[in-house]
Amino acid sequence: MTSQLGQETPVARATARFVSVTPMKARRVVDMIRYLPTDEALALLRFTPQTASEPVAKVVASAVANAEHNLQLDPAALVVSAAFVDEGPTLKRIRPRAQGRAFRINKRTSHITVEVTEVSSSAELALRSRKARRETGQSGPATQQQKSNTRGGTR
Amino acid sequence: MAVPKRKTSRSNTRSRRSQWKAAPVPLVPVTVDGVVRLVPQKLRKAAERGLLP
Repeated sequence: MTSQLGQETPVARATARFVSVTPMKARRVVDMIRYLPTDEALALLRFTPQTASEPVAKVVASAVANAEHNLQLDPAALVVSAAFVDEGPTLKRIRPRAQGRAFRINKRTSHITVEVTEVSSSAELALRSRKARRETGQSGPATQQQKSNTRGGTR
Repeated sequence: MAVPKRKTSRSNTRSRRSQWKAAPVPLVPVTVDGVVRLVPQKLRKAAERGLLP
């Protein structure tokens, strides 16, 4: 998968698989840190009350370590260029109920992926990051790569 | 016990779920022993006193 910041920029990624958090809850946390600088993302994850922030913080820290060690990128200039949660296998459990019935308990798992990339200039960051745009007083959403909007059918 | 009479539409389900967002904690930069770190506004004093690990 290519980075959303362009193809030639080196991208470090980290994945945590089979994390016992439901994808819905993990996405709620991951949506907060997308396009943030990694130091801000780690600080934010440390103080958010959601339980899913702990495994997500570990993935971000791992991606930063990968960028630093494998690609020799500057950890201070990294931003979260992509972050997504895929659904893992669901563990099925049985809850016995009255009259011999059984209810299903779904224990869902997630695969959490975070990609970080180096952003050289603050102007480039401002173009991509919603938060940076807010701070520099620019209005409107950040420009992302145009994606075809036909995923899951054209209707 | 109250029981839903009708199935919730996919549209209603997705509209509800898209509103379920976590509010980011507003962080402020605090300098402790020359090191700048981001902490929530409410924990600023604690961070300045060195109470945060």
